[in-house]
Amino acid sequence: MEKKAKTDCCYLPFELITEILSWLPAKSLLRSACVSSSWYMLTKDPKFMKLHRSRSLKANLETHFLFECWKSKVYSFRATSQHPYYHASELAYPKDIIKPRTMGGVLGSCNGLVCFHSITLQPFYKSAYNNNLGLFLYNPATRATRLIPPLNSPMNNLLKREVAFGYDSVSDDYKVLAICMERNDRNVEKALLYSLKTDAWVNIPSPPWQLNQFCMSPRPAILADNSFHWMNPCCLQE
Amino acid sequence: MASTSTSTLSRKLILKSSDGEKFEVDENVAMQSQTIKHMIEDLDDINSPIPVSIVTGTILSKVIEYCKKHATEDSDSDEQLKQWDKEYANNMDLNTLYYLLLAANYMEIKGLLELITQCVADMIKGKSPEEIRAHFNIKNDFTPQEEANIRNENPWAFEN
Repeated sequence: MEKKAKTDCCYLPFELITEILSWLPAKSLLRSACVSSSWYMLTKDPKFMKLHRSRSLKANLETHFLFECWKSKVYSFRATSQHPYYHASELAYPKDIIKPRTMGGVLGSCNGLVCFHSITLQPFYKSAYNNNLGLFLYNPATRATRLIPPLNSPMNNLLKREVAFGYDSVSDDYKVLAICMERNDRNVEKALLYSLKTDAWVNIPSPPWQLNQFCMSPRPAILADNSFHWMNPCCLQE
Repeated sequence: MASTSTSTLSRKLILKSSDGEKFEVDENVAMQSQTIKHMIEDLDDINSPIPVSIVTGTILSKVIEYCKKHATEDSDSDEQLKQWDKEYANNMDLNTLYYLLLAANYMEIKGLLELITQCVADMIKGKSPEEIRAHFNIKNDFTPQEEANIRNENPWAFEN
């Protein structure tokens, strides 16, 4: 028995292979996808992806990433509890999707996933009429991109007022909230929500807030405790 | 290092390895293993040896070493415990590491399982698919065309 041990030990049950691969950084994981067909299937398995993501988030629990756009270049800033000073490095973003000239900037980032907006250099609350929001998601670790589809056709002629990107831990989904105004005399405001899981926009029929108030926010939304927070200039005086 | 630092009165259990070696351990040490925890619940006579059927004495002694360290919540800080874990795993040769992994899986010791799988992951981190196959003794079941297609999904991942 002992003699055979040297080769026997390498046959690990697949559940243990799963455990091992779940610790790998993205680049090594993509590399190991071409080891064998069962490994390849594993890397595409949603359950495994979830395990892998929770492990890498846990490992990076004390790491904070910020993404900022400056002069058509994107930078990632990284800080950990051991090194509290932000370490900046330039981020290679997919230039085939977003041209440096039309780079609008970073709308937001969550768990290392970045939401870019392009097409216009204007801040969102001032931007032009367009039902295509020019938004796309980018994962710098895997270099995967996803264009966010335009708003549904009945929602044509919407003037966008406010857009925010965030992660919803309740539904385990990434979402974009867009507050828009119909381009007519009635000035009806609408709230629309995009979900990465369904890859579609839905109308929020009666949002629990008054749209016209916080759309005046001088700053983009901040995501905290699973909710977006805006600054309401009307309340500042109180 | 004294194991008497905990105030709880700890019963002694006897674990018996696959090759018949017996180990006397405190109950709270053995209880780190979910498998043993369940076995104790069904046990009438606590003094009879508990068989750990697929784990040899050499490996079981290593498992107990880990469990002892993690059972006593004394002066060690998280940082010190992490350092101890690291040295513990680094002192194992590859063979021991694999048997330890199988033991941790069978005995359901979550912390040890995570430690060893992470350690093996670190070993294959920078390796090419060919090297990984050799490491795990895996047969390549792709045709050259299939493999090329998968490489082309993320060509940058194969650059050094």
